Amino acid sequence: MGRPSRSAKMLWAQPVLVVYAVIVAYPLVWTILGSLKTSYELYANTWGLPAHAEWVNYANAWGTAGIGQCFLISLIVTSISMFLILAVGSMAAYGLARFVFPGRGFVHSAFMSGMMFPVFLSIVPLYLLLSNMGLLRGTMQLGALIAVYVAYSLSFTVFILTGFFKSQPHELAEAGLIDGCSHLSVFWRIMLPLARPGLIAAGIFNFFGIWNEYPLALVLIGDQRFYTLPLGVAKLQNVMQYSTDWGALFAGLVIIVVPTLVVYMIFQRQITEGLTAGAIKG
Amino acid sequence: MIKRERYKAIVVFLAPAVILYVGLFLLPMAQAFYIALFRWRGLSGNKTFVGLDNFRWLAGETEFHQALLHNLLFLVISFCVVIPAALFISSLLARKVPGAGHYRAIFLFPNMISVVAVAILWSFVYDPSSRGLLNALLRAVHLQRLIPLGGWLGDPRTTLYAIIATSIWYSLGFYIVLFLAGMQSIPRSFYEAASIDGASGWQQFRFVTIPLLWEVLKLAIVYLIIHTINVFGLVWVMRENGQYCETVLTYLYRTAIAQSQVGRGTAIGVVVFIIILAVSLSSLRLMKREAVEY
Repeated sequence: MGRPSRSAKMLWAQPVLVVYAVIVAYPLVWTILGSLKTSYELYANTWGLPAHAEWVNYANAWGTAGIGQCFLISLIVTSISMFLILAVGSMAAYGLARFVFPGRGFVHSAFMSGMMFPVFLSIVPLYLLLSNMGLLRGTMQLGALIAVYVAYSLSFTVFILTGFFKSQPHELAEAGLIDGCSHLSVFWRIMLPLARPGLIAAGIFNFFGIWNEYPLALVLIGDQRFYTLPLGVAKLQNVMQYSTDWGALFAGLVIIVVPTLVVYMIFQRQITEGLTAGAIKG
Repeated sequence: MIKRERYKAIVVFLAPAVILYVGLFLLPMAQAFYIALFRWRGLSGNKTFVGLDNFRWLAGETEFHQALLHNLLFLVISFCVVIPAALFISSLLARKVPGAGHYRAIFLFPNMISVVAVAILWSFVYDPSSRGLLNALLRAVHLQRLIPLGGWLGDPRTTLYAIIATSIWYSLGFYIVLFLAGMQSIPRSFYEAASIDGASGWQQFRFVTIPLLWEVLKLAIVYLIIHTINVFGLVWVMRENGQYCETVLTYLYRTAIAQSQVGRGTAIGVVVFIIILAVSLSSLRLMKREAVEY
């Protein structure tokens, strides 16, 4: 009895899903097509395929508009930040999961409380602190930005990794210690490799968080030579309002989105599971 | 000896994280509550203690009220669209339609894109000239009379709603994935039992799915509230292309950074913190309905 009604339902489910998929995907496809059109074509041929692929838009975005420089800076900032977050965060998480010591509960809840504070609450004191220390000048501002990214990501990273280290058997670490390894080399050689799924999960979410981060970079990076991609693309948009190289701006959008698309495609399963892991029981 | 080794190890493991976290995260957060009590213009010395004056000033400031109202509209509209739409779409995907996994992957993707890129992309969608995607679409179906004169972002009556629509496009997938995971954790046998009892599809949804999804729904609502209070990048980038439109955080940024009214700007941050705290605590309490154990 249930069968015919279920398959009847599927008949109208598909069109609904297709329509929504088009609403989600079309603006993105349209951006890619737009990045290959001339500025004139964008007006005359809003919908269609470009008559001829204008790869020169990418060259203009990358070179003349400075997006290539921003891309490299974002790549450096994101990879150094991620490395430091995972190193510092996993050490802290291991310390909290593995050892019992007075004040452990307090330190743990201090890290957890960080997820409640809005970024904007500290934006002024943080700016004052770093500029008084003279860290917002020259290349130093990138170092300051990285340190801030690490500090801001620790709550979440420690939260995820503590869970992973807690689920590991203590006996392994004990065995390592008896064999004469130091605590640090037990952590480095035995426990960290075992926590790989946790490191991947934390790494993925920190990648998206930092690659796309805007408000902190907006406040801390004052020098245009050190703009990250979100700042660079936002600036490009402002400039292009007055000149008319819209194709380069579309190309800039594609350049900022492609790395996230690649990471998303590789880790799609972990991302959907990770997003809901805290929310769903069992 | 062994004990000393252990304590040394604990310090080595925790020190880097604690120093960074306290120095660059907790201390600046705590400092904010202090700075908010001063009249302080710019980085130069003139710092006068004014107690709660900054908060009194905020309470009487119409621009701040306007910004709060915009956030409230943002929340109410997002709530009315996102929760039903995400429930609807995720319940379709939960029925194992062919290609469900691909749909889910497509729906979630906007959530992974830089907010700045989303804002610029949608500024093009709303572009007032013939290059704008939305206007081209409306012309194609002969509905051009709907197009506002100054463009969707340029007309003060539509700016906020255009930005809200963009935000929904950006975030809906997250809620779909959240609800879908919740629905998939409900045992199939419950639906089989319900359909043997003659429950229609709607009745199954209303009396099986919703009660068992209550915890997830609660969480989604708290996320939605926190996300809408924290909206910044979309508004900051999109309003540059159109009519001026302020939300609480863009107002904070303008006050604290652009106008360097350090004390006042920080006071806004404190208000945002209190709102987030109050709203998440009270919404958790208000919706404290017995979760169904199974």
